[in-house]
Amino acid sequence: MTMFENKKILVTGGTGFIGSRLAERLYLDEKADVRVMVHSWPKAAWVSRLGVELTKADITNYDEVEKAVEGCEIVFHCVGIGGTREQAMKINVEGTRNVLNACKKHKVQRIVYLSSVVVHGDIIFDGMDESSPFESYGDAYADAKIEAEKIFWQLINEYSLAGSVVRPTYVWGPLSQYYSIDYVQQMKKNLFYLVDNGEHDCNAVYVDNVVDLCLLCAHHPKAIGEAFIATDGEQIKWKDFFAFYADMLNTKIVTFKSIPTIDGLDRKILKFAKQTLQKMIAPITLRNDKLEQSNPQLAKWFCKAPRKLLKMPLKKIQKILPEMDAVEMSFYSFDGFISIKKSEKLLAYKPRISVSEGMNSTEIWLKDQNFI
Amino acid sequence: MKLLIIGGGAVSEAFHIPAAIKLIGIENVYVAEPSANQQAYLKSKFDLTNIFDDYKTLLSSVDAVVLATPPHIHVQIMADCYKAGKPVLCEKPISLTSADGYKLLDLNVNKVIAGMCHTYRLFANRIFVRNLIQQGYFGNTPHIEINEGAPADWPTLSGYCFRKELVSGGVLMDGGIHSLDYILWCLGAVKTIDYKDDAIGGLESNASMELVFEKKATASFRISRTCELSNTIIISGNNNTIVLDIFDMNKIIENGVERELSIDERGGIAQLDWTKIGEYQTQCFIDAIQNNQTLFCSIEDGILVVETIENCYKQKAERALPTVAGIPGIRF
Repeated sequence: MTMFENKKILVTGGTGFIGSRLAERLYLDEKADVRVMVHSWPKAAWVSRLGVELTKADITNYDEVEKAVEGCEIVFHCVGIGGTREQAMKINVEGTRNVLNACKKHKVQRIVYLSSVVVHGDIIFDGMDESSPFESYGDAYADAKIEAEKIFWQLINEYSLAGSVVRPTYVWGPLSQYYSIDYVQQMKKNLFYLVDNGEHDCNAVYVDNVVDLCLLCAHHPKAIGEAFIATDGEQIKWKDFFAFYADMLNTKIVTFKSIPTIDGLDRKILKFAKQTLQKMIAPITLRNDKLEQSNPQLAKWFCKAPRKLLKMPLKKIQKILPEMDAVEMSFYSFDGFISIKKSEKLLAYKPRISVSEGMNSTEIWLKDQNFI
Repeated sequence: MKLLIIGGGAVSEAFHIPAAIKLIGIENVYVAEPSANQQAYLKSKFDLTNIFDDYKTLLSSVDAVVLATPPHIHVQIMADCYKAGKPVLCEKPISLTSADGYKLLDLNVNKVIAGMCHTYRLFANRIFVRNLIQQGYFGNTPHIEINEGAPADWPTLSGYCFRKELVSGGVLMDGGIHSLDYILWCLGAVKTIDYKDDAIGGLESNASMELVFEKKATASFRISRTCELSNTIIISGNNNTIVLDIFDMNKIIENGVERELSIDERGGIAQLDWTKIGEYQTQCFIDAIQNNQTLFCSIEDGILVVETIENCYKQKAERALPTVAGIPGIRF
C-alpha cells in the first residue's frame, strides 16, 4: 500500500510538463485516485492516456476551481505560466488564491504548491538556499510567482491549512520544452551556443526528482509550512550537462560555438562593425518604405541596391558572431551550487535520479517522440 | 435543398457550415447546437439565423443532415434521421462500437442515403495511388507505410476525443481513422494485426500497428497526437515507390520525382486544397441525393474501420499493462 493509494488527489496544471508527470506517477506508482484540472483540451493529450479523471476548469474562475477541488484530500497546485504581466499575475496570483479558498472550503488535508527558484531573484550563488529573500528582477513570471507564493503562505496561515512549497530550478527531462527539446533542436540546426565554453555551474533538476520532492511534501509531517528548492544535487558544469544532449546526436559538445561573457578584441570589432552596418541600413529601409509607394524604380536603385550591398557583410558578421541576450547569458554564467540541505535534513530527501540516468530516459523519450 | 448541420463545434465551423453556405445559400443552412455561447459565436461569425438548440424539431423541415456531434450520440441521431427519411453524412467515427454501427445498418430499413466523412478518400493523389495499387503497379504485395503525427491542436469544444467517458478510443479512433480507412480501402480485408499503444487506463495518444492483409499486402501505421512525425504515406512494391504528403491532395513523389497530378490523373476533378475540401465533400453529398451518385464512403466502410480499431484494442488488452511510470509515453 502506498502513501497515496485510493486517495482523491487534484493536480492543477496537470496537463503541463511537471503536472502531467506528477499525475502519471500518482496514478501509476502511487495508485492514487487522480483528478486533473484541464484548461485547454488539446493540451490533455499526454495526461489523457491515463486512467485519471479530467475536469475542465479555468484557474481564474473560483466556481470552477471549487468544483475541481471538491472531494479531494490532497491538492498539488502546479498551474504557472508567464505571458504578459497581467496574464501572469491573474493566473498565478488569482489562481493560487482560488485554489486556497477552495481548499479551505473543502477541508483539503495537504496542499503542495509548485513555485520556482525565480522567487529568489535572477542570481545564483554558492550555498544559496530557501532562506534567500524573495527578490524581484522585473520579470513578469518571476514577479507573479513571488506574489503567488506570498498569497499562498498568507492564506495557508490564515486558514490553518497544511501547505508546502517546492521551488524547482530549471526542470529538464521528457516533455521539457526549454531544457531538453529546445537544446536538441538548436543543436540539430547548429544554432546552439555555449557560454564561456560551458565552464559555469549547472543547477538544473530532472523532472522525476521534482516529482519525488512534491510527493514527499504531500505526506511528510516536517514538510508542513516549509518551502524546498529542488535541484539534482550534482555538481556539474553546463558543458557536462549539454554533452549528454550532444552525445544523443552523435556529436561532441566542443563542436558548438561559445560566447564569452567578456568580449575579446575580435568580438568587440565585429560587434562595432555590426552595429555600424545596422545603423546605416535602418534609414535606408525607412526611405525605401516611403519611396516604394511613389517611385518603385527609384526605390530599387537608391534604396534596395545599397541596402543589399550593406546586408552582405552584415550577414557574414552575424554568421561568425553568435550572440545571446543578456538575461540568457547570465543564466549560463553563474558559479556556485544551490544548497538542498534543507530537504535532506528535514525530509531525508536525496535526489533519486542521477543526471546520467535522467539523460538516458530523456534520450529514449526524445527518440520515441521523433525529436532525435 | 435545405441542409441541417447537427453539432456546431470545431469541424462544423471549419468545414461544414462555410461549405453549406457557399453551396446552397445561408437561408437554407440550419444548425442545431445546444450551447448558447457557441450559438452566439456562430451567429456572429457566419450571420446565421437558422440556429437552434434541438435537431429533432428541425428534421421534418430539412432535406438532408450533416452529423457533426461528438460520436457518443451518433447512433441515436442517425436513427432519428433514418426514421425521418433524411439522408445523412456522418462525421467519423460512425459509432463508438462496431456493434452499434451494425445496429444502424439494421435500422435503415428505408435505405436512406447515408455515408461517412472519411475525407482522405476525396484526395486526388489518394485515389490515383489506390488505382495504381489495383492495377498492379506495386506488384502483388504492395506495402503502405503511414507516419502521421503532430501535437494536438484541434480546437475541440467538448474535448470529447480526450475523454474516455465519451469515446472508446484515443488518437486512433480520432484522427487515425482517416489513414486507417485509407489503408483498408486500398488493401482490403485484414488477416493479422500487431498493435501497440501508450494508453494506461485512458486513451492512447501514440499508436502503431503492423497489418497483414488477406491478399498478402502489408501496411505499417504510426500515429501520434503528442509529436511531429514525418506525415507521409509511402506506397512501395515491384521496385516502385510513391510518397504522399499527408496534408497534400494533388502531388505525388513517384520514384523520387515530385509532380502535380494532371487533370486526367485527378479524374477531371479540379485541384482541391484545405479551403475547398469541405465544399467538395458537401457537393458529393448533394450529388448523391439529387443525382443518385454513389457516396465516397459508406456506413459499412465506417463500421469496418471501427471494427479494425476494436481488434487492435482487443489485442492490446491481452497483454499486461506496465505497473510503474518509467518514461512518459514509452509503453509499446
